[in-house]
Amino acid sequence: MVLEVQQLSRSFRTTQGVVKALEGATFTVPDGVIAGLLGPNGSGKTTLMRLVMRILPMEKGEILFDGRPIADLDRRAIGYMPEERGLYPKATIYEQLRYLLRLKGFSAEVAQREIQTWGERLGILSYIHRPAKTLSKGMQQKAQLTLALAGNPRFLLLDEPFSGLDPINAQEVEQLLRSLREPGRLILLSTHRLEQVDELCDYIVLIHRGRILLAGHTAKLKRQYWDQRYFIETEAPVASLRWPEGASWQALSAHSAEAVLSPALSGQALLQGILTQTAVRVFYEKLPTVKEIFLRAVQSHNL
Amino acid sequence: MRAVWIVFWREVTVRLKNWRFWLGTLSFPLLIFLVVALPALVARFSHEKRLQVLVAGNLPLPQEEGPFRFVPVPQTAVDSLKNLLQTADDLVLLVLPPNPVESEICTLYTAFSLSSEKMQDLKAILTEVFRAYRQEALRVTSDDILKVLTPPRLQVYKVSAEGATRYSAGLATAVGIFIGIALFILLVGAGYQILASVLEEKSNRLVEYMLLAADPGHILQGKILSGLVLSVFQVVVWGLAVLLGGGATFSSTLANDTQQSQRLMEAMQDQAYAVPWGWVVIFLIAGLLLYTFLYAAAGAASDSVTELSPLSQALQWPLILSVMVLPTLAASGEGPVITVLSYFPLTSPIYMPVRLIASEVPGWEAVVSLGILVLTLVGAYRFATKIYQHALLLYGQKLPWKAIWQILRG
Repeated sequence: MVLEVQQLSRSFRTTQGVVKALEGATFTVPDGVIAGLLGPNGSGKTTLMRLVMRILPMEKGEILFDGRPIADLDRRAIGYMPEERGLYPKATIYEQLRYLLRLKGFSAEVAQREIQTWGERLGILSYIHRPAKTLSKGMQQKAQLTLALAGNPRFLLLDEPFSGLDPINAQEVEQLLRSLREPGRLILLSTHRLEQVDELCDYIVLIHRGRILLAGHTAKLKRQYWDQRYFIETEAPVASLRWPEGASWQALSAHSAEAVLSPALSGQALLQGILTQTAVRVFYEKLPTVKEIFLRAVQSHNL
Repeated sequence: MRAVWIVFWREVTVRLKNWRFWLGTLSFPLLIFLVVALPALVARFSHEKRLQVLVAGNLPLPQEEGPFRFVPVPQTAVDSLKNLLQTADDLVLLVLPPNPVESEICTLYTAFSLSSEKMQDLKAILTEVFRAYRQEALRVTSDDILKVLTPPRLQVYKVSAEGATRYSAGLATAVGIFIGIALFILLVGAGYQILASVLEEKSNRLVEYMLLAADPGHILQGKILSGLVLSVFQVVVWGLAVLLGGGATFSSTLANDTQQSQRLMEAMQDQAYAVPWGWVVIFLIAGLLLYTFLYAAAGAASDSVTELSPLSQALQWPLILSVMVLPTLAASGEGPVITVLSYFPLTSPIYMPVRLIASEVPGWEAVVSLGILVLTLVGAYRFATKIYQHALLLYGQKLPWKAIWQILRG
């Protein structure tokens, strides 16, 4: 395991009293995955990320990376794109990337090389000598991503990386993240838009009201939360079919339906039963979405 | 320390490229020119009124010299003459010591403020007369007298309906006020530069990345160091501008009167030597540090230039009060308000140097004032780093006092 978070708690004093942002958060994330830290707004994602990044001091608990306290990890091995992100409006992209990378501990030469490498990959070199205020939000976001990726960090944290991006730019970022997925590197991203990361994240950590609901490989969790639901599309109208006992179904259209089976009935038995009546065009197990898993986890935790 | 240097260098280069910094740096010498040099130029072309000096004492003063006409009066008439001073705008009363060999204190009573030039002229005449008298009385050479006896000291009392109160001599007060204003502008300027810098990074949402990249204490130290260095740079520019511009103006003003010009230059040199520069520099640096710490915290606790925290607003009051009280110093030289301000840490960086320049302040007072300032400085640093680290991440809000207190409690 690469990242281990153990019994992490954090509260804040506010004018309204003490607010518990995190309560005993415990989970692990392996390397070589894109992990999604998922939860609605105000669930504690940003606090958790800031604690992992050591931007906020810890109150209680432990964060380990490769078995050692996260504080021991070289700052240059961490790439971070915060949710609240920005740039100096009057400075050129190059000037500020160079300054911020040097501040992080890179030498001037390495900083320049990294800007060139990642700038080229992200396609920002054409406007790198322009002041940030003259650029679109998407262009600025790519510059911020360059900053996070410079140094080819082992641990990449992206807080709401898709917010503010148009679909084309969001897809570009998604493709880039996929290309960065490799053994030895951990990519942890947070988002409140659960449907957006359904296909992207192969590991998920679900957080709600400061508590970790679930953590695990997305495929395993989908299987774990699968309720024997199948999708079926037939030649004959689904309403005209005789459905086997133990199958509760719901029509999605005249020729397609979703069926949930009781434990006594298998998918194979359902398919055979339907095939005796009509030709089947499409038949597959319908696994739950991350959003559905989240909702069920919330219900089961009674939160 | 590497991060401190990187932040420092960026802050310095960004500000040196900013036209507002240069406007702030160069506008002060211009202001001084308008306030000091321009009146001097105007005075050159205007007719100067001759001053009637009523002299109570036995020294042989000339009947007329420079802008003065000396009129001997009996020692017994001093009290009644003080009342007479208020009726004329060209009359002053000079009381000489009974024994000019033993005592050097001369007392001048006046109902109006005398220009620094006149004060220096009068002092120069008295020095000459004292020297001649002592030479005659002691029968020694001029050089020996200079070694043995102190030149006369002129104590000035301002006469009003309430009585006579002492006020500091002209040039010393002028220098004191000048340095006071310079310190004020430096403190405000350095404070606002730090505030703007912190606020820019907070409002641009850059802080979070910066806090990952470097220790918040180092970032703050880099900013404060840059503020300090740039302020010292401004002091040097202002000093040079005053020396070059002021010197040139006075030279041109007094071009026709080489004797007066020389006297004034000597007086200014004397005054420059008399300024306790060590104390001025120590208080300046301590004051700059104090205000930059506090303004950094104020910037972190604010949300934007238009949404400044109550802390930044509170910081302005001592400085505004300082400027309001400065003219009082010009009028009286000392007083309970000024004494209190010279101990209060938010105003002592201005007022203790001014008091040290313009009047006689025992050394222990300066030490005590500095001690209070240093203790406050330590507390301010802790306060600033704590607020800086916590409040920076609280976007979209200016912190009320209650929230600031909660951050300090942890």
